[in-house]
Amino acid sequence: MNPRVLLAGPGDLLEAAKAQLTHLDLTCATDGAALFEAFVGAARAGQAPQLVVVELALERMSGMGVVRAMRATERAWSRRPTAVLLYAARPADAELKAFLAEVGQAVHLERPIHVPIADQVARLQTALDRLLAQLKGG
Amino acid sequence: MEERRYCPSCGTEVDLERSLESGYVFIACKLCGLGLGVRPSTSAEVRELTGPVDAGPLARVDVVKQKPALAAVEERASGVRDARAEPPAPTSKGPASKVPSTPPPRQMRRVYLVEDSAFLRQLTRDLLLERQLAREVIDLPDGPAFVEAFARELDRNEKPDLVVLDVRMPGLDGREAAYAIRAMEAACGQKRTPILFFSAVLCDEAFKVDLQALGSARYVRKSDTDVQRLGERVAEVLARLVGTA
Repeated sequence: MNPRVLLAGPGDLLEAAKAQLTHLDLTCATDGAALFEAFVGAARAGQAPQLVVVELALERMSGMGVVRAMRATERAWSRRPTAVLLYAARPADAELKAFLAEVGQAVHLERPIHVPIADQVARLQTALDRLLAQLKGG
Repeated sequence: MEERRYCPSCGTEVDLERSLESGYVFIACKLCGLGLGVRPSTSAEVRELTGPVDAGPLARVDVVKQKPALAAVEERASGVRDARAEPPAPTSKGPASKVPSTPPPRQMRRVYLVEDSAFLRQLTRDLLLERQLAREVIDLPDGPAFVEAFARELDRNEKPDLVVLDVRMPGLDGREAAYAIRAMEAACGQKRTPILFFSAVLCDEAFKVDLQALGSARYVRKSDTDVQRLGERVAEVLARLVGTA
């Protein structure tokens, strides 16, 4: 069974990810609220994702808002925190570092917006494969 | 013995940054670019942060050689996780003594009040109870606590009758919290809970779009005018929103 991954980000990234990350059971969302709804729906159905990949700048709910809401529902439902990869154009500034420490089970990878979208997805794929392998190993 | 830290993703040696002010440790890998933040969970760990770089909690990053990175971080943060596992009890509930003996028809039963200012929380709670707009008010100090409480109720097939939300709050603002509960309701096939935004933030065009998208949501601006008029305005909007009149 392919690893279940939820991804929210800009449209071009999602399109390229769907085409390139065929080894994943990938669910894409175009805004933060849609991502959170997909997360809750999957969790309630007993199909929680192994990893959630999220950009920070999203419509309706920001990436940080989504992750905080995820953590709140996980606490409410006594679930283990889902691993999160913030694949964001924004570099890891002090606020972001503190945020990662606050929510736990989360890592940041800067999305190189100056390179072609295929290369952005390739960078994401490399990180995803390593993180998923480690999660599986654990 | 020299301690080394390794990237949880690619396994190469990493730099480590300590922020004593914010109380986190940040690990940054120059090779693959991955960044990982860790917050010490005990005062002893915080004290260790002031020690030499090659001592204390930093050495624990070595764990990633044997354990999955995220699991290792979770293990270190277990104190925080345990604390979070405790159900965050609402800060207060409406006193039974304030329940009117003859409640008006269609009175709100249970109202969630989410407001980060303790003073305004108390003021709004009193307003809702004294005007018999609510029989029970459950105070919550921020967005994440609200989402957690709401999720816990959904799990029991329960929901509040109304949510009163401040807009500007740290962590998860009122707008995001509203979208979060709409997402939970949609995912769980539940009806939309009426939302009243009670805020000092101006209702601009962007906010009107949000109100439209959220559905069953209204806005009342907090103002420094007299409480009497404010109460009348809240009652009027609530009547339109949920038919309390």
